[in-house]
Amino acid sequence: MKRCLILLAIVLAAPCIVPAPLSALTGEEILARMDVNKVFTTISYTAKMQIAQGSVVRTKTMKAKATSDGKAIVEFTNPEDKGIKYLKIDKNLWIYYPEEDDTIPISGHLLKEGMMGSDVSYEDALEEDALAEAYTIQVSPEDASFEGKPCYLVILNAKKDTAPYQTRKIWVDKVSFVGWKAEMYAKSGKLLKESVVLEVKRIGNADFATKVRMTNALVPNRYTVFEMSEVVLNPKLDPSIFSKRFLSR
Amino acid sequence: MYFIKLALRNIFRNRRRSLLAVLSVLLALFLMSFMEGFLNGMLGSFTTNATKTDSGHVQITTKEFQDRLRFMPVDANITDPVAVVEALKNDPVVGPRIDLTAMRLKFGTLLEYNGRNKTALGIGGEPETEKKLLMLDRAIIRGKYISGAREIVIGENLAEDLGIEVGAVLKIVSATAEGSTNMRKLTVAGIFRSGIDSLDSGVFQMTLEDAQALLKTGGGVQQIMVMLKDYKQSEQTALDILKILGNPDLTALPWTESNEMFGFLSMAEAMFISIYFFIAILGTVIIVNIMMMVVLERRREIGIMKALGVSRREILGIFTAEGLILGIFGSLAGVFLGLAVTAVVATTGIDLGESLKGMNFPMTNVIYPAVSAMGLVKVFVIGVLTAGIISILPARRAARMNAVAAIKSAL
Amino acid sequence: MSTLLTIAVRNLVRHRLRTIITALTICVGVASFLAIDSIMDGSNKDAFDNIVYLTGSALKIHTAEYLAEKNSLPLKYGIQDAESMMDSIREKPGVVGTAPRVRFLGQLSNYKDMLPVSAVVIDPRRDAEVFRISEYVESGHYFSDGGSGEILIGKDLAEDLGLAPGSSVVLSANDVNEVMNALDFTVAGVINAPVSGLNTNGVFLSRQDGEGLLGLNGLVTEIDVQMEWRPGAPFEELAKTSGALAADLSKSYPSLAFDPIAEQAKSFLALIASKSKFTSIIIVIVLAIALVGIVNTVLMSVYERIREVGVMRAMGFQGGEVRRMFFLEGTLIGLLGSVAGMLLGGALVWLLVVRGMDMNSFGFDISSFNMPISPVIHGVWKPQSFIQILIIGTVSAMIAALLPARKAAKFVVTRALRFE
Repeated sequence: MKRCLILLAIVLAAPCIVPAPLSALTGEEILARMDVNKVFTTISYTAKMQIAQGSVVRTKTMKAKATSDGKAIVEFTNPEDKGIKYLKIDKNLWIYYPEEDDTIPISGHLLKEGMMGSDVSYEDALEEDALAEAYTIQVSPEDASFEGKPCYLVILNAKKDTAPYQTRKIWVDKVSFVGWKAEMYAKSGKLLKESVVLEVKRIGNADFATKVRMTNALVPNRYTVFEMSEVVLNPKLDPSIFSKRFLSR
Repeated sequence: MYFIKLALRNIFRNRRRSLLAVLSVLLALFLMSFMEGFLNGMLGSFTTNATKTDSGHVQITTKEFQDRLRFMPVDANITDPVAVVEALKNDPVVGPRIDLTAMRLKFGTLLEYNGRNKTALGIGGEPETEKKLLMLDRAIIRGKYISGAREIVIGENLAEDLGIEVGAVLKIVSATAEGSTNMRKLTVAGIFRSGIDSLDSGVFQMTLEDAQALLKTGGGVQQIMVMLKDYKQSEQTALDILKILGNPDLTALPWTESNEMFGFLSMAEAMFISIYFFIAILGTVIIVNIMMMVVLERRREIGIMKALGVSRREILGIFTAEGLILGIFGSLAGVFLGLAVTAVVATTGIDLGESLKGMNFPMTNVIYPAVSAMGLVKVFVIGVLTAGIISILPARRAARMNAVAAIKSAL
Repeated sequence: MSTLLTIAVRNLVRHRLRTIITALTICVGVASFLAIDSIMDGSNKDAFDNIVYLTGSALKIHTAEYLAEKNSLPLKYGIQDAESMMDSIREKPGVVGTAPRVRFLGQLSNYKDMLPVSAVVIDPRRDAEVFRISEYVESGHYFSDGGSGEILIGKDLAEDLGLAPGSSVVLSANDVNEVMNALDFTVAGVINAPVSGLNTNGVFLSRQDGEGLLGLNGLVTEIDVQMEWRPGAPFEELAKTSGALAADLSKSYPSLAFDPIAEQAKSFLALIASKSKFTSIIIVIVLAIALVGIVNTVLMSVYERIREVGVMRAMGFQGGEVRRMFFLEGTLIGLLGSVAGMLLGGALVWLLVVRGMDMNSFGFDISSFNMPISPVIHGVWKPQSFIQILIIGTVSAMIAALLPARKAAKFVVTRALRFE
């Protein structure tokens, strides 16, 4: 799940930095706090993804390496997908298939497809990079909470008609700035997707959401659970691994 | 017993009249038996054409596949289709009925070429077998048909949308039987134009092996299609196959249950049967006609016989025997003639012309009349019985006549 | 000539049984031809009805760009000024209605399962002037006024998702910006139409909701036009008027593509053409049998009346007159058989027209296959078939009688008299 790979985990986690006067925080500032990109330049981890579609649950395992400036490479390790890799460079995405030693670019309509058969689309993953660009950000004056923890309710409204979700709501923990829950709404106001953080771990200076569940609100028995482990911050990564050539190796 | 001798003598005595009678019966029976063959062949061709793209006469799949048919699942396969096919071919009851078997995989894919991508339906089958089923080898307009692994033939419009020509290497992505995705690179060997929009705009054919490798089915297939020599045996054969398989996870459906066209074909069959019925009536009427006249015109003769002392029973016997003999000869000859003509036409077929091009499935234009032993026997029996029975009626009347009145009656 | 005629008639009456039997042969042939012809035409008409009023329409209008991509049902390439165009078309002679439609691909979910559907946004009021969907609503009802929040679904779809009128569902689809949107709906009615595509994944929603779901902003990608089609008139008539209207409109709107009914029914028309080749083979065989009957009758009668012929010749009748007499006899039998066949056929056709033939009695659900045919097929009256068969029957009888009649004329008088 691309989104979790880099972005969900990143977006929903937050560094524990100098506490600021709460009342004065704007939406942008809150999001900025959440942006874990400031905590590392490179990151590597292993992850497990459970994709449930009704009674069928599939498990995928992977190893990921990413940079804070938008590059990532993921290699699947579960038997059915062994050797398949995703390469992301900025907004471009490719899937590499070992048997054919070749890649497919994900573009156009394909971006709306769910990754690996899940309900999380490539677009969902890529969009996270630039939430601030695509959405206007407000903080709801009401008091919000998630499972008893007081939160900011950050409301994002799409600036353009082409944004995948018209409205997003994020419950951000007032203390740790972990984004516990996010809801994605369609233009009609109907809830389309919902993601909930199930587990948070402190790694280095930051709180990372290490287990997240994303649910298709229109068919609730379809959901995806993403779990990170063996997270290493700022490992030494050879920049050449983020290239198509390297995929063949 | 001497009825027969007398009957024969009578028959040969008035050769012209007898010949006329036999000829009439012959003609009627000839038409009836040809009709039988024609309709049979028609129905058989319709059924085969309608079923060979989708289901075959009998379709073998897993039960799960049928349950989730709407989604065209690739993970509910028959795991060892080769063994299944062997078992069927070796079975003494089912084996001889089989015309051909085909293993197939049909699945949704994404085609990618030079940055352009399009969804399409992929059909994986053995190329040689598919020549008789999908028959795309006849529709190739550029390049050639599949001749080996890693080759595909693709619909004209689909090729245009992707901007590909013969020789292009496509990347084909699909969901696999293991719940992941896979990609395979295949070369366009040929481009086809079938005239059927759904095929030309959205379908490509690949080898079964390539499909199995792409979908990672481990040798499994979604369905085994069985085409029979006689489509009418489909339902029985399906039941027989189920017994041979002895596997609760598998199911064998005759086309009558799985194919959409069933209703239409039944209706066609019902119509054909009623047409045949009418023709049979016409044929019998002719025979009735002839036999009546043969007897009626000899009323004088009957009167004389009675006057000479021949008993009623004997008269009845003679005329009935005559009728039967004429009937047998005429029917035999008629049926043989019908058989001969049907056989000749069966090799060349009757061309229904270009008119079938627009149909929703690839279909041969030529209908081959089929000879069926049962059908011919039916026709023959009808002929003989009718002739015999019909001779009885007027013969009885004649037998009861007053001798003098009979002699006097000027026909 | 009239003497010959009288004699011929009297002869036929005298040999009543033979006359009746032969005429009966022809009668059955004629009657069955008429009945089959009627039901075949009836099923064709039925199919056409469905094509014209359910799936197609007399005339379909799209932009050329839309047609090029019609398989993906894009939400673009709309028709400019659709409203004014529909108004002006409505004024044209023979047009009974125009309706805007937008087709798109969506997903229907009952919160447990989600199925892909082929959906259509319609204007319920105007759509009813063009199409007859409302007649196929099996349970529930057609859109009520405006139809907001209401949806019509095919019966297989309802079954698969366990839905019934009153059920709540959510329909999701990509809007004009290719962004997913979703709306809640209540199932207003379930459709059971003799077009299986409609039943398995057809969904209809009103214009209002279409705007909300897809952000159409007045977009109309398809205009359907219905034209007057006299009940009982042959399909060709409608094909002509719709073709003419299409030609006329394409002059005023060169950038649009007009599909008259003949285009839309192309594959079905081809099927009918092949059907008719098949039926003509059958008819040839039927006729052959009837002819054989006549030939053998007349021949038999000639041979058994050789004596009679001898007497007539002795009495002064010319060979030609004798021939004509037999010829007349054969013709009269043919005429009698044909007329009787027409009467019997007429009765059968009447039954078929009024009561129809229930296809479902053959034991299957007729809507489950992809032919646009309804469960009960009615026959049609085709006066030209009656006339056709009358002529064919009589003429064939005449031809059949010729040969034996000639034979009769050639008998040498003396030998004929002596014949036993």
